[in-house]
Amino acid sequence: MEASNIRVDATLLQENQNNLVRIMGSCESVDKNTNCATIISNGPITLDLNHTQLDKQLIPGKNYEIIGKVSNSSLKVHVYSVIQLSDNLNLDFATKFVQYSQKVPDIYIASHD
Amino acid sequence: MSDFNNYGNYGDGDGGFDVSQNTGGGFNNDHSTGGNGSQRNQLRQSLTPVTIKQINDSTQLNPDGEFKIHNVELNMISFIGIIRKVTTHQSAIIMTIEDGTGSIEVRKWIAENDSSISLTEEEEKFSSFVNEKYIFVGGSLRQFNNKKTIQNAIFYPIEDSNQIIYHHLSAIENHLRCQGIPKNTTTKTENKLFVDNVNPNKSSGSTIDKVLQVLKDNSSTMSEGVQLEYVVQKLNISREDAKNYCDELIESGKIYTGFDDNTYIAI
Repeated sequence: MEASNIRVDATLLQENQNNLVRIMGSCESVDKNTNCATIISNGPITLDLNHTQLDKQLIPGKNYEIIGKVSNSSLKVHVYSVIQLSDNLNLDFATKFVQYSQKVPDIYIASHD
Repeated sequence: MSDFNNYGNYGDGDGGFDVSQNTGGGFNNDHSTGGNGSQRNQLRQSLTPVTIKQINDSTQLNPDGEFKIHNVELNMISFIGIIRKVTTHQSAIIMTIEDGTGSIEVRKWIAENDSSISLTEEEEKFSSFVNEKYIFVGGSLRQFNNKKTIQNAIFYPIEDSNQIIYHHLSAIENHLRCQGIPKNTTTKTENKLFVDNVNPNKSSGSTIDKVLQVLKDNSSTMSEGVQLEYVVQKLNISREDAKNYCDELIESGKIYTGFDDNTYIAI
């Protein structure tokens, strides 16, 4: 299924190299020179924003859901899509959700993965 | 296809939907299918939270019957996702919604004779959500021409993103509930999914815990409740103590009284 991706946080990047992933987290910093950003999702994740034409900048302190591909070695995430989430998002719940979604692949992860 | 006679209008494509919705016939379908077979039980009429993967993977056992996937029955369902595409077709807005587990096409029908709502306004509204906002969709799952559709769908944008997590956790809970009690599952879980009911402040060897254990062990076999005398004998404690412990357990909501005041049922 072409539209599927895996819900992960910083702790699950290693085992999802080269996979399309979906990350909920809070933006910590944005480096406009390198077009990279750091998002906190149960740990820091470096986002490479060069692969998407964002019509808006990521703002530090705001919450986002990122869809992107985990690079092979550096574990940077090449961002394809960004959705802003509400400020009151509870990231602890988001972390729990990621953990639980890994435990029920029947309803989350395409069987051929 | 004879089973679809009730849906004569739906048969050949999109125009069919149009008629049904505009006449508000949606829920009538449930009545018209009443005689469809003796196997048909009362359908679950509350919204079942699901992921789009569950919808796409589900199968329909009988024509016009309920959908099932991994033991989860899908009738009235709810899901959330991001709108990736919006198009209009006759008097419907067609949206492609994606939640990371899959994607599905849903239609919002706009009645032509409804002056309070216009197709272009609605299209503009939903187009503004494309790639921007999660939306919630609820409705009943149907299948026409091997394509799953959501009938009588309601849509609203999600303003509080915690609802996304809440929905998914509800979907997971519902899925696990339908698999039976998730004890000793084969998944490589290191942490248990659910918190034990036992109060960690009390040592597991305390008398009240033993009382609770006796009630739990026997509640399934003693349908009218476990007799107080049985607890007294089993634990060799005084009737008064047993009664006090049971009262305390009732107050904390862990047990209920059974057939009479001296029988108890543990949850």
